[in-house]
Amino acid sequence: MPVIDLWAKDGYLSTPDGNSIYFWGFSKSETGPAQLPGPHIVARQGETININLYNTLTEPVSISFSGQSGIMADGQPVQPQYTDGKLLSFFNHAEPGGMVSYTFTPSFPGTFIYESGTNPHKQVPMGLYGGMVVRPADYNPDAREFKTAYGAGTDTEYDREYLLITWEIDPDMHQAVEEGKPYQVSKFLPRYWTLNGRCAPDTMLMDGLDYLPHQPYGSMIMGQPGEKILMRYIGAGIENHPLHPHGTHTRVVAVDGRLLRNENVDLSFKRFTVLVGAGQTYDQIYQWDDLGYTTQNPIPTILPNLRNMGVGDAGWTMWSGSPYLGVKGDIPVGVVSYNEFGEYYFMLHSHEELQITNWGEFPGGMMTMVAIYPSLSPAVGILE
Amino acid sequence: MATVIKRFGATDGWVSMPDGTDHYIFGFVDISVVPENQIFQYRGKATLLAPLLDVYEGDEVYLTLTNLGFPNRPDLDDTHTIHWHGFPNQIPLWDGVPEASISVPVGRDFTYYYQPLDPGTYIHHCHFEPVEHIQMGMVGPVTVRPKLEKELGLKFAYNDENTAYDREGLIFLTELDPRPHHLVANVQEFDWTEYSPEYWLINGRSYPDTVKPANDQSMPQQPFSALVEAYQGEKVLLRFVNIGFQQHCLQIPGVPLKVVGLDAQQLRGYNGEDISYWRDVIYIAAGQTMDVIFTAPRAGIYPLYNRNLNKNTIAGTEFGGMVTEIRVSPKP
Amino acid sequence: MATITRVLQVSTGSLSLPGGNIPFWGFADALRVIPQLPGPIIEATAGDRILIFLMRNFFRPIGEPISILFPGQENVLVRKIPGGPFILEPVKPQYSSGKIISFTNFLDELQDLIIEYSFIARKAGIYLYESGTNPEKQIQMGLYGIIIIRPPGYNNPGHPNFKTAYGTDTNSFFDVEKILVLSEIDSVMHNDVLPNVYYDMLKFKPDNWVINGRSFPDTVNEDNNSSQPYGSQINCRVGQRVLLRIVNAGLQNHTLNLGGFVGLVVAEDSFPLKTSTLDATYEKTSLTLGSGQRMDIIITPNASGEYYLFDRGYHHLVNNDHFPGGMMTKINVSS
Repeated sequence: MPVIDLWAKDGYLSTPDGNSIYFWGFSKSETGPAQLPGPHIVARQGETININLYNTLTEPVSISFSGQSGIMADGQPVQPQYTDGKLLSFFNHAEPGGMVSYTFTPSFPGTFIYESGTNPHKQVPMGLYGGMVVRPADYNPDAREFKTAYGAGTDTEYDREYLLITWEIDPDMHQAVEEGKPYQVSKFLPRYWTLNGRCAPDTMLMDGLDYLPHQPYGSMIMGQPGEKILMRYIGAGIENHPLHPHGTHTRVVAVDGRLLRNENVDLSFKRFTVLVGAGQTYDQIYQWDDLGYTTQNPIPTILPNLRNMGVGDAGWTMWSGSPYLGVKGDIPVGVVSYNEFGEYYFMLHSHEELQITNWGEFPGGMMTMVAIYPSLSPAVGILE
Repeated sequence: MATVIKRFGATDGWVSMPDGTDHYIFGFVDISVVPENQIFQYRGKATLLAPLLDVYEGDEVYLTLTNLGFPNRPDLDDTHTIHWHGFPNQIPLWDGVPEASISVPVGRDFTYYYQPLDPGTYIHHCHFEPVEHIQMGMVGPVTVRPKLEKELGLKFAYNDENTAYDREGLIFLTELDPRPHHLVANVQEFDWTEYSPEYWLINGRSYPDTVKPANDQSMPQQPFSALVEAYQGEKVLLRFVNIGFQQHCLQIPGVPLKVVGLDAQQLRGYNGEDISYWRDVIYIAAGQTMDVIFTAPRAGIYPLYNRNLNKNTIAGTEFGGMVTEIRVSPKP
Repeated sequence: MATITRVLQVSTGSLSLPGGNIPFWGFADALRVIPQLPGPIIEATAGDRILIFLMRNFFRPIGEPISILFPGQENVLVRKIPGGPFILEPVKPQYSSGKIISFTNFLDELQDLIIEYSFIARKAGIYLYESGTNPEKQIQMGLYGIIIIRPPGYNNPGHPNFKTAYGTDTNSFFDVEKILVLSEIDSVMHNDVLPNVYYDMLKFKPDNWVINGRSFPDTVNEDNNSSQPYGSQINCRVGQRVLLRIVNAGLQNHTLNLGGFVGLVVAEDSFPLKTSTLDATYEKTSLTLGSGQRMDIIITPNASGEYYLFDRGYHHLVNNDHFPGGMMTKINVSS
């Protein structure tokens, strides 16, 4: 039986504008850093998993696994917890310094959220959440037919997969919790919005950077033309966020870890903006097909002299200077291009545009890019 | 398939609200048929909404963006772009994201090319510092009409006879927070996390201005009417667009609404299943579009308004805002 | 087909909330002394005619014109006594100086005694009735209620529509039914509102989050005769089909988590998702409802115990900023 240890502890997250914000998060080990979001849990349909929660915080902590059934805590069915007759936790919790052991068997594949079920108005906005992916029972990444989100025959094959978790930060709340002061949730006013715990432009950096020890997950989506890129969205904040990928639509194939299909009737649908609801998940396939322009089949317009155009006005550009995929053109002197392979970048962002700022300054916040490479290692876009 | 040649100028201007206040905007103005030596006369004449781009599936669209500058903010040399929001399989050159390709400086032109293959309701907007340029008003509608219309000589939302309609209306939603508009006009910065709109608009207007006719003389820079008129029994297509920064819930009590398309995609399952559905309330998030068909009921006037009722106000002083009217006449 | 007749009065009353009592405006059945939140549940069968006589309460009038709007109902008719129209005619928005002042015909405080609304309950489902006059103010003050329309045969054991929300073959058969009306309350607004004075809705900032007019833990109390008569605790047994009829009467959007259960969405805005041509029902663990929207969901608990159904917008699970409270209720599953 797979055993996963999660340690609830505190730490400081970094924002690109130089802020350092106290938060609560889950860690993989006693000595590891609290991380935001918590460690990804990857489970398998029908295979019982055991999750041990160790609590180093000063108040009880529990974990809710919405969409799972038959959850046991220390061998008994989970139940709400009370103190002096007053509800304290939706599920069995670990006292400060204590632990609780959850066991369950996911009966369906899909994308799920795990999050605190104790003082959730405080603990989830403080960072106690993470993503869980349940592989279908027949999952086999080495066989195309069985590398699916929901099982063979469900039209959910994919080439690469990415998890994107939305969340928002009110620094006043985090500071109040750090200083042990009362905080009025009615005054909740986010100043930062995150994807996988990071604000743009940090979202576009790679996983596991030394200088972001508490925010190990990047959000850059990478793939090739024509590939099926599985995007798993999770809404971990208390607000809904409309995520809009440029480049093309996504086909929403499942919500809350449930396939949009009744027997032979397919209910999936395409959208260019998906409202990521609080506590909800959306599995989508993004497939960008080239329009077919190459140096041999040129675009029907003339590329102007780039010195007359705005290029890299933000101080950097993610464009190669050429209209064609895999081709590098000339960009004006002084502009820094990051397109080593002539790859294309498409923005993916919240369309409540104030959320793509860091405390009001664009660019920032809930924004990343989808990068389409002329060719890309199959080792990219694997979720473990 | 036709070749469509259009030219939009990016500039600034002013809009008015029913309480008599004026608000500084950025926006676009249609200069497609303006001689080159007269385009500067359109500086300061941006409209809210930006001009409609109305094309057919398969058309070849050459859309030139000319940055005319801001006569009210000559110090500000922002570049601009046109982002066709939702265009499938786009390439960065024509996607209008400055960080991922190019933008257009003051006094320059750039021509975007599109050959839309999927009918539906889209949006175009500037993507330069989008929180500012969208809120300041650089937003407009795009409709792509299906081939089936030309083949049958009738009106359809998609290439499906089940999406036939007789009349169409645009319900294009935005909000206006007067503080950033005022600050931008006065060369000051706004903290966007403090965004708190006071006006809620359909087609760039607040009720009761929404029901005034198109191109009303009193609002030269808000040319789009939101009044919907039909004869009893006619099929009416409403193209809902939300390019504000909030979620909205629109309803027309007494009129069931059939949602046939979302985000410029007909509601069809993987195997072609008809997954269109009925609603009493249209819940639409920022950056989404919905195509909705209803049958005009018995003659009368049917209010269309936001069920987030606190938004039906004119800056907190009186009823208005995100409200318009469906006026149904008896069969002729 | 029957005619369902109800006489509703509108009056001022008092709501009991964790922060204390606040004034509200509510509907009441004619013989009831105090108004209630939500208004009285009106039940009919598809095909019935619903007649509603609306009056002001003479002892505790709210002091402004009143009306009822019926979202989801078509071809509503109206007449007024003694102001007229005297024979039923289609409702229409009311204007002053070319601008709408009421979404529907209203009862004028000075001229009218009774306004009568009438319509055919055309299709099964769950609907709101609510104020159509100064609705941003009057609905927030409490003028909303529920209409349930049953499919024909709903009460007849053996009939294929028996105990279904939408009739046979709509996957809406249930053993237990619970109506959950979501809303939010701004106590400052309730204290400050004045009749016939426009309230600045830019100041709207709710501080109470309610199901059936109550916040947790009052939500788990039984039904009673107070101004908030409807409890929302759900009692069921393992394996039963529990129909949750969720209605968002608030001005804001809300997201309900179904207590960890996976629910089957069988209808949205009272349009069943399973029809003769397509089964479009789908499963969810949390549901976001826009203002004015309704969803019918079946959950089938497979283990006994206590579960909480709560607003996943966690900042709404408080009373006076303290957890637990707000928009939350309990599901008790016995074996």
